[in-house]
Amino acid sequence: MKCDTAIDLVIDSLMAGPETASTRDLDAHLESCAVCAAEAVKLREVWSDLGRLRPPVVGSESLVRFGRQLERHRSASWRAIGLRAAAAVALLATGAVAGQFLGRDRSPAVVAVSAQAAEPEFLLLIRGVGLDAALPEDRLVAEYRQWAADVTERGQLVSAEKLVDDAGEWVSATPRARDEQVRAAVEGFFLVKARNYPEAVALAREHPHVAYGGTIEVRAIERP
Amino acid sequence: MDARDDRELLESAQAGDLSALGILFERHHQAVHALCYRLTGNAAAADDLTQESFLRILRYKGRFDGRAKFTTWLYRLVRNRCLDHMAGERRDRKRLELFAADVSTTGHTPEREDERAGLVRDALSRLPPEKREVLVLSRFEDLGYRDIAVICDISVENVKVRAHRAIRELRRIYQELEREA
Repeated sequence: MKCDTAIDLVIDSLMAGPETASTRDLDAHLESCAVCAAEAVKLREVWSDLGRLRPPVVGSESLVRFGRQLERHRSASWRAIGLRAAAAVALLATGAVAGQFLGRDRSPAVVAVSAQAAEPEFLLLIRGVGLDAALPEDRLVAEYRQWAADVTERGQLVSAEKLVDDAGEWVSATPRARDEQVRAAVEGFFLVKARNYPEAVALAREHPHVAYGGTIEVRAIERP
Repeated sequence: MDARDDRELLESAQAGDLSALGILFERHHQAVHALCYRLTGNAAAADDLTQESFLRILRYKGRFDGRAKFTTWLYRLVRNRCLDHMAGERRDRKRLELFAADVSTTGHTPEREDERAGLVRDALSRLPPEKREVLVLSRFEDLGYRDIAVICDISVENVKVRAHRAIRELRRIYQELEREA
């Protein structure tokens, strides 16, 4: 066995385990070659000393810090999905304005119970899906306010609420992915009066949220 | 204790369940921190790199095809992040050297580290990153040439060549440091 081969085998035995090297031939060579034997000792020594290299102990603050990072990431995801920064503020403002029009200034939301029970009512569920988060917030707020003012003036707004900016909690027998919850989350709602679905849908279409890529689900309230 | 395995947790994290990522962090952050520390030789940088690497999992989510072990995939991501960091540090050091004579980037060293460990740590830090990483992955993560090849994105043969050169060079540097000491 050549000296180079012997040293290669020594290294292989350190790095990939002794079974990779033919130890009998190697041992024979090391017994007969003092230079290689000395080199093998030094290599094994440095390899062994490498094992003394202990990493620093990681404290529990690392877990706490990562928890905070996840929270920040969760918030950022919301912004990316759409509604947090812009539409949430807009909804809030919309509710406040509608409240003023209805004589019940109850910011952050408005509840105006002026509905006559016989009139059909529809729920407009505001979802952030598709909304362009890059839109200027001021413009959104102004346009959402205008929509609320118009609908209130026509006597069609019954109530409005903005929900907290999170995905809420879903309860079901089959766990759903968090991502699905976030995407499907309702940001807020308007309860409006309309004669029928087409009128309620027309009302929803006028809302700037739709024009800017957001989604409004229109649902009729069932009355006995 | 969550009963899901790493792959299931990764899938949940990919689907937006950040708490699953939190569990993966709990399970693997010590090992990842140790890897970052041994690659960079800097404890403070290892803290940051550990956190960043786990957050990167979300951005790299599409790239885990399930063929490799989760830890192999994770170490590859960590290794890439560490290399980026070290390359940036070298650039910064060059810029800083224009203004300052002595720019040390080594962080604190673990307490109770004996003299020989100190020497070998110094020797390891003097190896070029591409040699250091194969030694670290082999010695501390107990990985074979094949896994190291996946992590470093090179051929098995190349790993072997690098590993042999690395340990010979480490031995030479170590001996020089011993003589100086």
